[in-house]
Amino acid sequence: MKRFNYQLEIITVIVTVMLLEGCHSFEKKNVQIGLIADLSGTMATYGKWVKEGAELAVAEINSNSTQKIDLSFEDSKSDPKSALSALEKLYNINKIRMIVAGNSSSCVMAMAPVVNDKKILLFSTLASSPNITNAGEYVFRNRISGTFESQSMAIEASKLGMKSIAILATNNDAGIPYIKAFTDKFKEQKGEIVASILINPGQSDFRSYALLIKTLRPEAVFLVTTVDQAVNFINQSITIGFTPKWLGISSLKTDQFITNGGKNVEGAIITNEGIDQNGKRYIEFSSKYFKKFGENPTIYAVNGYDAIHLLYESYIRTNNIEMVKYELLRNSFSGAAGIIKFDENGDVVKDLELLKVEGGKFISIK
Amino acid sequence: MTFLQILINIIYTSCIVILLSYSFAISYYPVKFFNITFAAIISTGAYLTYLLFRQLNIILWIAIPIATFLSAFIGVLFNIFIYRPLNKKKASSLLMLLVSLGIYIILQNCISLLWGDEIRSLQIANVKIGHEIFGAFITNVQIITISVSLTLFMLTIYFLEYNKIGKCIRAVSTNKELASIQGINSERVILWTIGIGSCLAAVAGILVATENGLTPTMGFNLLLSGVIAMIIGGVGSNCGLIGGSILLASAQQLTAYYMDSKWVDAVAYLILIMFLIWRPLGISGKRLKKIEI
Repeated sequence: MKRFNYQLEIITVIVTVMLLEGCHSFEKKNVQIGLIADLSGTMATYGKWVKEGAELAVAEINSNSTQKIDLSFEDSKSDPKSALSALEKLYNINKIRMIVAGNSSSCVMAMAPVVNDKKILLFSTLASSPNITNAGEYVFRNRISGTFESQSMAIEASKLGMKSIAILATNNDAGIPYIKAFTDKFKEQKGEIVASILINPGQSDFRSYALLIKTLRPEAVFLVTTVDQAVNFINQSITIGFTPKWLGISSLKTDQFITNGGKNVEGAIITNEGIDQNGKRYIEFSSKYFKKFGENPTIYAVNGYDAIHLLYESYIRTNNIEMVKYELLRNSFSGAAGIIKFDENGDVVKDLELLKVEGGKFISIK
Repeated sequence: MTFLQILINIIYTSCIVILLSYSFAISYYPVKFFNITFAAIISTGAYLTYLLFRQLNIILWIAIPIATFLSAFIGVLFNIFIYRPLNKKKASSLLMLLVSLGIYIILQNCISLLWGDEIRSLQIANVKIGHEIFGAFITNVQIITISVSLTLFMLTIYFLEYNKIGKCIRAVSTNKELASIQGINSERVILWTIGIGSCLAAVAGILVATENGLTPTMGFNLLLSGVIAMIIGGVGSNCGLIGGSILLASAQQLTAYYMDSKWVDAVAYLILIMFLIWRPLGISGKRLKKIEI
């Protein structure tokens, strides 16, 4: 009898161990996503917004789902070389094959050949350079292409009766294509570009340019810069009595443009990626974001949030990185920005709206 | 109108560069190494003013002196705990330069951690059209910057010429060993030079920040302008330093207007290289007085 009890104990232990092992093998692995964002350097403000949006999405998913996300951050320092190092680290050390990029077009263009070569899915939330359209099959983005923004603004400027415009753009992979797209379209509309000036990323003193553009007497200045640079340029122009119409891109659609620009930015017209602001997901996201970070979400925070949800949902459905790519191309998604679809190049298909600053607020005019 | 506006821009930039180059020069003469920590002191002055004025709502005219003295205090502390021990160990100028570069990076990262990397605004008044002078414009901030820079520059020169400590600074700057023989405590004098230099650097940083905003890395490019102006002006000459600053500011402003901003830094370095090759003693052509023992 004693011998029987002893055997029973051994069997019980073995069965328990087997059951525990079985449970472990059935436990779902966390979804690994990397985030390479410009958290320092000249684009730090924008990278921070993407990171905040992404963090909010991860917190939501991890609290509501059994299969959680492990999000690994890397700082690309607003520098393509640092972006490449971050990518190598996430791929080689963390073994991550789905990456959200919250950095400039130059950084995305630098990473594109590597991700295509190593079959890493790169999802950009910030880069708007038209060159990214042809950056390869593994590069996706939910930021609208700069060509579309430039052309829309050129048509609108022409409709407003503007005949001469100067362009101030950042000297990087995004700024130069913006100039070309705007110039071509505006010339088609019989308009004249009196000056196209490239500024360095991080530059803050624009007195000489303001003076140069003032002497050319354009009716408007199209600003393809970060919000800080745009506000500095506008303020420095106003101090020398230069007050044309200000036109801009969606990078200016931020609380900072209004608070730092004050009355000087009144009347400015900017393009903006269309968001369904009455949509349930946007309202929920917006209130959570405001509660946590104390400001209204920018399009970059929205894109960061949507990017995590899109990748996660696609991965859960397919459990295969290669299939995630086809999921993104095949399906449409409901995100905080509204219905999100991608074209065959991995570019998001979104509407564009025009906003005007009136009474310290962005008012939709189209 | 355009010429006059460029002239106003040149005068404004020159005054900032004069202040920067003098802040660097005054502390360079006695220690004879390129103290890059000053770049961080420039940013620190601006960020402390931002903290006191914008975040703690202290009146600007109280915030600026507090920020200036705190920046100077930080500069002096680094000298006491890092540079002085290294100096006692007869560390080479190159080693000191590398250490100062390290301290600059640490301080810059501290600023980034505390305030982030984005451009922050230190506007002291609503931006509006400047005062018109024959079609050109000058703002109140620019007038204040020009006045403060020139006043501080003149006061420092007066202090060095007529004050007892100022005379000691000049003595140590000329020959440290000989000054020590005369009973001057050179270590204390060096602290004075670091303190005064840091004050001037911090003020320069604050003045620039009120017009252009502030970033953690703002100090480095500003210091570089100051150092280039000092070298092309001629080490040891106040007139040369003014000449160097005006030459550099003119070259930068004219390049930005007639060429492109990409060339601004390149032109500054080109001038530096030309001076180092053809006129190594700078505009003044003055050698530092030195009596070998």
